[in-house]
Amino acid sequence: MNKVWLVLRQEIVSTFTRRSFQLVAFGLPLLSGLGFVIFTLIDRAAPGAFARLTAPPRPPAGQVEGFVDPGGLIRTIPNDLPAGSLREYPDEASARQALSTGEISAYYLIPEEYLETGDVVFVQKDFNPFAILEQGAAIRHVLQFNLLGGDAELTRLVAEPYDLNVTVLHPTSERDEESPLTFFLPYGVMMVYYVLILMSAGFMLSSLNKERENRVLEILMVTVTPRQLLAGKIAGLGLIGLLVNLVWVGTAYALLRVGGATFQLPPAYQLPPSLLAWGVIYFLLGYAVYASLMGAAGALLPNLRETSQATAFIVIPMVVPLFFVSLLIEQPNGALAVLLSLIPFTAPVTMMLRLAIVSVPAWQLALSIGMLASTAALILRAVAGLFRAQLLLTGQKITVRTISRSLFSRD
Amino acid sequence: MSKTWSIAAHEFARHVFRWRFVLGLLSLPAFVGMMALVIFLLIRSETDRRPVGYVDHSGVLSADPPTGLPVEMIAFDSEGEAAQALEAERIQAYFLIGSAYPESRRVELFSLDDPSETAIDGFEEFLRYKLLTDQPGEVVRRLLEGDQLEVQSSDGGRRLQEGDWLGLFFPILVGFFFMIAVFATTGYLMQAVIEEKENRTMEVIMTSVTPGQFMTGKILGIVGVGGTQLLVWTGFIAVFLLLGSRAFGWFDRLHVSPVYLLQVAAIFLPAFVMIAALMVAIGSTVGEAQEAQQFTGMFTFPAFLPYWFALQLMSNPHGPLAVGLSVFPLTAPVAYTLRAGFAQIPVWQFLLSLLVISGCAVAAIWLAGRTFRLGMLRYGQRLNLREIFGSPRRGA
Repeated sequence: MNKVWLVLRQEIVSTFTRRSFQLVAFGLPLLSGLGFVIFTLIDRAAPGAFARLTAPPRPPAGQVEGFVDPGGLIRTIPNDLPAGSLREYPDEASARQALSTGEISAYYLIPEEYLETGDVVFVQKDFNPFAILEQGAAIRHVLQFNLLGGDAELTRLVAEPYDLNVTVLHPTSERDEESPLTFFLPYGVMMVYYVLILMSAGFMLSSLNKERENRVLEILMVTVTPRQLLAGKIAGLGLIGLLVNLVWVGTAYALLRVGGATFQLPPAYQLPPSLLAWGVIYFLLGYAVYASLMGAAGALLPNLRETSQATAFIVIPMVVPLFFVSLLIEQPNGALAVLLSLIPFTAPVTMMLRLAIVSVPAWQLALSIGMLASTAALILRAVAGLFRAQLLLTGQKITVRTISRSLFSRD
Repeated sequence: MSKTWSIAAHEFARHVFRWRFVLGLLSLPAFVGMMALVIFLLIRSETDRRPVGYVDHSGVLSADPPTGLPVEMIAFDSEGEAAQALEAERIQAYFLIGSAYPESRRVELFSLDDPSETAIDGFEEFLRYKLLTDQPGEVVRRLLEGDQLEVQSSDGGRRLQEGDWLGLFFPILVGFFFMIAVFATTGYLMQAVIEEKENRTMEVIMTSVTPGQFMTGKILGIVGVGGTQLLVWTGFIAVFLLLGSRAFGWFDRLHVSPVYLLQVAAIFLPAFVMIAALMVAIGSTVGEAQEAQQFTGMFTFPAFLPYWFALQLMSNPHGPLAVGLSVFPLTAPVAYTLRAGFAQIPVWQFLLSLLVISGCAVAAIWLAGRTFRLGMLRYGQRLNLREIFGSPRRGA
C-alpha cells in the first residue's frame, strides 16, 4: 500500500511540474479569461467593433435588379414591390451590359420553358452561393402574381395559406423547442464528460508510454510490483483529471458571473444538484474503464505512433453517442438513449446527457452503474494481468499468444 | 541529385507500400461513408409517415385530397372522432378548419407530441391544391412544385443550384481533406526524423549523403505520400459522385469550377512543402517524440483556426478577417479554400497569397536545413533559438 501511495504522489508531483500540463490545466483558462477581459474592454471602448469586423456587408438600400423574360410571363409588377426595384431588359446581352455598368446589382433570367422546368437563373457580379438562401423572394412573388393572372389576394393566400395554431396534448418536455439552451445545455454536459474522461485517460497513456520509452519502467520494476504501479497511476491521474475539470468549470462559471451575464437559467433548464453526485460516480467508473485500456496500450505498444493508432480504436465507443447526439437530446428516454446508457462503454457520456434533460428511472440508473462497475472491475483485473514485468520489458515482442497467456494464467 | 531521388523514393515506398498506410487511406472514406449512412438512417427514422386527419367546417377542403402527398390525409366529420383517432394513435395529428377560415385564415393543429414536418408540409400542400382548383393544370403544378434558383457569376464560370448542399459544403470538405492528409503524412515525417536519430541510423546515412540531399529527399518523398493519399481520396469521391449520379440521380446539380480547383491546388502545394519542412525543423530541434507532438500543436491550431470563423469567412469573404487569414501562411490553405468557394477572389490577392506561402515554404526549407545540420548528431540536448539563427561557429 505504501508503494501505491508513493507512485500516486510521484505521479501527481511529476504531472503538476510539467510545463505542458500547467499550460493545459491553468494556461487555457487563464488565456480564455484574458481574452474575455480584452474582448470586454474593446467592446466597452468601441461598441460593435467585433460585429463590424465580421458581419457581412449589407447591400445598399434601394438596389435595382433586372430581369430578362423572353417567354413574356411577367406582364405586371405587383404594387407591393417598391417602384422601380425591378427593371425589365429585352435580352440577356443588355442586362449583362447594365450589370457591368453598375446600373443594376444583379439580374434574373426566366427561361421560356419556365412553366415546365421551374428554373430561374440569378446572375450577380461576384459569386456568392449564399444568395441562394437570401435571394429569390421578390422574383418568386412576381412570378406567382403573374401566374395567377394578377390576383393579389389569391397570391397572398397561396403564399401563406393559413395562420397555424399548434396545440400539443402530451408534451414530453417542458423545454422550449426553439430555445438554443434545449440543445446546448445537455450537449455541453456531454462534451465536458467526454473531454474529462478522455483527457484523464490520455494522461495515463502518455505517462506509461514515456516511462517505457526511456526505460524508466524497467528500473521501477525492481522495487514496485506492476499492479502497485498501475493502481498508483490510475488513482493519481484520476485525481488530477478531477482537479482540472474543477478548474475549467470554475473558470467558466466565474467568467459568466463576472462578465455581467446574469447566470439565471429558466426553471425548466436548471440542472438538478443530484447531477453532481451522479457526475462523480460516472466519471470515476468511466475513467477506470478507459484509463485501464489506455494504460494497457501505453504499456504494451512500443512507441507513440502505434499507441496513437491503438487509442483511436479504444475511443470509438466513446464517440458513438456523439453521432446520435441530436436524437438523444430529442428523445432522452427513447430506446436508443436507454440502450446507449446501459452499454458500459457508452454509458458514462450518454447517462450524463440524459440526466441533464430528464429524470431517469431508478432501475436504469442502478442497472447502468452495476454493469459499468462490473466492467470496470473486469477490465482492471485483465489489465493488471497484462501488467507483468516480462511484458513491460523493452524489446519484448508482444503477440496475441503472450497476451492471452498473461490474461488467463494464474499468478 | 540521384541520391536525393533515391531518398525520396525510399521515403515514399516505406510509407505507401505498407498495410498501415492502406488502412489509413481507406479508413477516412469508410468513416465518412459510415457517417453519411448514420445521418441517412436518422433522417429516415425521424420522418413520421403516419396518416394525418382533418376536420373541415369551412368547406374549403370539400373534395378528396390529391395523390402524391407526403402523408395520407383522412377526413373526419367531427372533432370528437378526430380526437379519438388521435388518442388511439391511428393518426399522428389532426387539423381543424373553422367556419371562419375564409376571413381569419386560422387553422388549429392538435397532436400528442411536437407535430412532424411531414404533417405540416402535407397539409399545406393539400390546402394550396384546393385554393388553386380553378387554375390551369400547368400553373397548379408549377406553383405546388415551386421553382429552382441557380446562382451564377457574371462570367458564367461559377454556378450553384438550389438544393445542391454538396456544392455549398464543397469548400469546407476540400480544406478538411487536405489538412488531414498534410498532418497525417508530415507527422510521419517528423517521427521518421526522430526515430532515425534515436536509433543512430542518421549517423550511418550521413556518411554517404549530404544533409541537404537527405532533407530534400525526405520532404519530396513525404509530399509524394500526401499527394497519393489525396489522389486516392479524390478518386473515391469521384467514383462515389459518378455512381450516385448514374444510379440514383444524385448530385446532378453539382457543378465544381475547374478554376477554383486549380487555384486551391496552387495554394496547397507550397503550403504542404512549408508544413513538411517545419515538421523536419521540429523533429531535429527537439529530442523526443512526445515533445515533438506537443510542438506540432503550434501549427495544427492555426491551420484549423479558419474553421472557427467559417461562418464569417463564408458570409463576408471580402472582409478584413477573410483577407488577412487567407494571406497569413499557416491559416492560408483552409481560409483561402473557404473564401474562394464563396466569392471570386481578385487576382492580386490570389497572387499575394501564393507569393507569401511560397516565400514561407522556401524560408521553412532553409530553417529545416539549418536545424537539421545543427541537430542531427546531437543527443539529449535541444537546440536553442540563438544557435539556430545565430552565425555558425567554427567547428559547429
